[in-house]
This record gives sequence, structure tokens and C-alpha cells, in this order.
Amino acid sequence: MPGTVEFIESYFKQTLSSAERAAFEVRCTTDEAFATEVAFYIAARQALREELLMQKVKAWKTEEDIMQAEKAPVIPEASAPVIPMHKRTGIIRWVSYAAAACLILAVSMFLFEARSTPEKLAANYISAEYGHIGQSMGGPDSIQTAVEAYNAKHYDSALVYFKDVEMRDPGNSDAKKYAGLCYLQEKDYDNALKEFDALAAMDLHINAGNMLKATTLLLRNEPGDKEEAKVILKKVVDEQQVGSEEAAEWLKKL
Amino acid sequence: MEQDQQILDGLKGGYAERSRHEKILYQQYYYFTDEGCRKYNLEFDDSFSAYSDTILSAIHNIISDRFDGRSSLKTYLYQIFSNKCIDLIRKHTTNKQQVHKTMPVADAMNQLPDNAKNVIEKLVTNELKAKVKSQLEVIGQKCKELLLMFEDGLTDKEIAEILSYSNAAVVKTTRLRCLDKLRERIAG
Repeated sequence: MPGTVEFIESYFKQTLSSAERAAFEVRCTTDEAFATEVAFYIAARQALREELLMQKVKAWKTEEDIMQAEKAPVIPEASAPVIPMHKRTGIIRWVSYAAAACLILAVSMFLFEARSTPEKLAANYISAEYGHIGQSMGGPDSIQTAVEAYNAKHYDSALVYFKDVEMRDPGNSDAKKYAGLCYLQEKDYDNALKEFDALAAMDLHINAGNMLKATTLLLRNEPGDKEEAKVILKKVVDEQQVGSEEAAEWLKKL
Repeated sequence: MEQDQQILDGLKGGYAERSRHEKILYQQYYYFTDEGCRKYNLEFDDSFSAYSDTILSAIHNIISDRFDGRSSLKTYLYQIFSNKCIDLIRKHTTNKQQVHKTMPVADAMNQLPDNAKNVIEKLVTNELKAKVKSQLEVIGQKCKELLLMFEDGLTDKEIAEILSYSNAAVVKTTRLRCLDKLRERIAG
């Protein structure tokens, strides 16, 4: 099939129009001969990549080996001195107990104090609502892989998958929402806000963008964040958006 | 960071400059291989395979401007590395009788929608891959070199300059002819 390889290559280089791409994808499932050509192209690319990687590693490894050899030997953990418990004096032991008790007391006080702070409210909301994503989300395999990674708390991995889906399908609101949540879980509040801003601007029947934006602002807690969060929460309540019940409660406490 | 920027600039430089910075990048984060063994319980060979594949993927993303620089190079590489480790773990648990220890699913395959991917995946058999590999060795050194350079992310124009072809169009025609030759040998 003359010209077929070029057509296939154009698809993978993403230089085809959307109509041509759609036609390509349909042919993969309906035209057996064409599917075989695509399979050959992918197999060739895989084989070439493996060969390329082998050559590269060979070239990279030479200097790496030298570098490894020059590295100072690592002191094994077992060689660290071990202080036997029975050698501790009585005073040291009691000082240790007192220090531990003080620490527990301080942590308890801190936790008690933090229970009702805006950050705590926001953290509890995220944990309850988005600590685990339901597996019912439709979409391509990569979304499911991302959901699995998110639920396993591998937020950095999940983010890569969600961003990939978002890049290929900028209108995918789920990808935007969950990419934002990955940033949020990683405490990258600025990037989380960017995602939630974009989500809030989407014309959706159900949109959690504003509630998530307010939550992120409360968690970031920089000067002015609390005030901005209040304005957004009021909007969430007024427009009966996702999270309006929680937003109403929070507004009473903020 | 300044060091990140130096590496990024070097990778986007000429071919020789790029090769030098590839080595620097590879050596810089080589300790990830220990992390793969420790955090993901991978055998060293698998962790090493994930790491080297990470470096190659990252290089290709950087030279094609798919790395937006929003995170540090280390964070970016670690994200890719983690994904590759997870993919390997998944591959090991679903296919314990694997014969070829290669990284799972090529990037190209992931560009297909699920229905097309399912069809094509069934056709990309280990037998086909083995045939392609063996034929790559006999289609001629020039062809192989050309195909490898393209796979390494070089444009036809850059290949024309490095291999002294008259222009990019000649490289493209020759390259596609090489692929056709490879396909015909496998079909025959």
C-alpha cells in the first residue's frame, strides 16, 4: 500500500486533521489490512526504541561506571554504634519519659486547637469527599489508571496520567478536577488553584470548581486567602453549586 | 534552577552538545535506580530498565518542547520514573511468565483510542517484534542509522545536516522507503 506508512506516521506525529484522525481510528477497527500495517509500524517503532535505548545506555554507562567507582564507599548501617538500653542512667531515662509526655501533651493541644480552624475544615472536606475517587468514571484506560494511582495515594503518578488526558482532551472536566486534586494532595496550592479556576470557568451542569477553589484557598491560608474563600463560598451557596451545604456551614464559622 | 537550565539548554543544542548533556542527565539522577529497588521492590535490572527508559523519554519530551518547566527536572523525571516502575509492577503481576523484559506499551500505542488500541495490541505480537528486530539487522546500515536517528527525535532536516543528505525531503523519502523495505521483508 504505497503512501500508507506516511499516513500512519502522520497520525502518530499528530499532523492529521481531526477528520483524518477519526477516519484513521475507524480504519484500525474495520480494515484488517490497514490494522496490520499499523501494527507493523508500532512494532517497528518499539524495536527501534529498544535498539536506540541499548545504544544510548552503552554510551552513557561508560562514564557512569567511572563515576560510581570514584564514589566513596557507603558506611553500612550496621556499623553505627548501638547504645544498649541498660546502660542508660536512671536520670536520663526519666528525662526521656518527661520529654515524651510533654511532646504528647503539646501535640494533643495543637490537634485540639486545629480542629476548628479553616484549614482543618477544608482538610476534612477533601479527605471525606476526595480521599478516594469512585471507579465508575468512564473514559479511556489512562483515566482508570490515573484513578487507581490516585486511590493508592501515588498522587505524582496520577497527576501525570490526568495531565496527559487533559492535554489530549482539554474539555475533559474530570481530568481537570482530579489533576487539581493531585496538586492539592501534594500541597502545590498554586497549581491546584489554576486547575480549579479552569474547571469553575467550564459550562457544566454540575461543577465543583468553585467549592474546590475555596477549599484550596483555605488550605493555602496566605494573606487575603480567607477573605477570597468567603466570597467564593457565598457564591457556591447562592448558586446552589456542589458543596453548598458545607459552604453554608463554613461561612458561619469563618 | 541554574543546573536544570544548563541541562535543558544543552539537550536542545546541536547533536554533539545534546549527547554530552544526555550523559550528564543520566548520571545526575542515577540514584533513582536505588529508589526503584527500595520503594517499589524492583529487581535492580528492572529498576535500571525503568530508569534508562525514563531518561530517554524525558530527553525526547524536552527536545520536542513537551516539558513545560513548571516543575523541577528532578520532580519531572521522578514522576516518569514512578510511572514506569508502577507499569513494571503491574506487568509483572499480570504476566509472570514474561519472556522479553522490555518496558510495557510504547508511547505510540497510547495515542490510539481504546477500541483501536485493543485491535492493534493483539496484532503487535512478540513474534512480530522479533521479526522486526531481526530484519532491522539486514536492511542495511544506512537504513538502520536513519531510522534510529528519527526515533531519537531528530527531524528530517537535522538528519539531512548530520548525514549530509541534500535536503529534508530526500531524508523523508529514503526513511519511508526503508520502512517499506522492512515491512516487505516481514510480509515476505
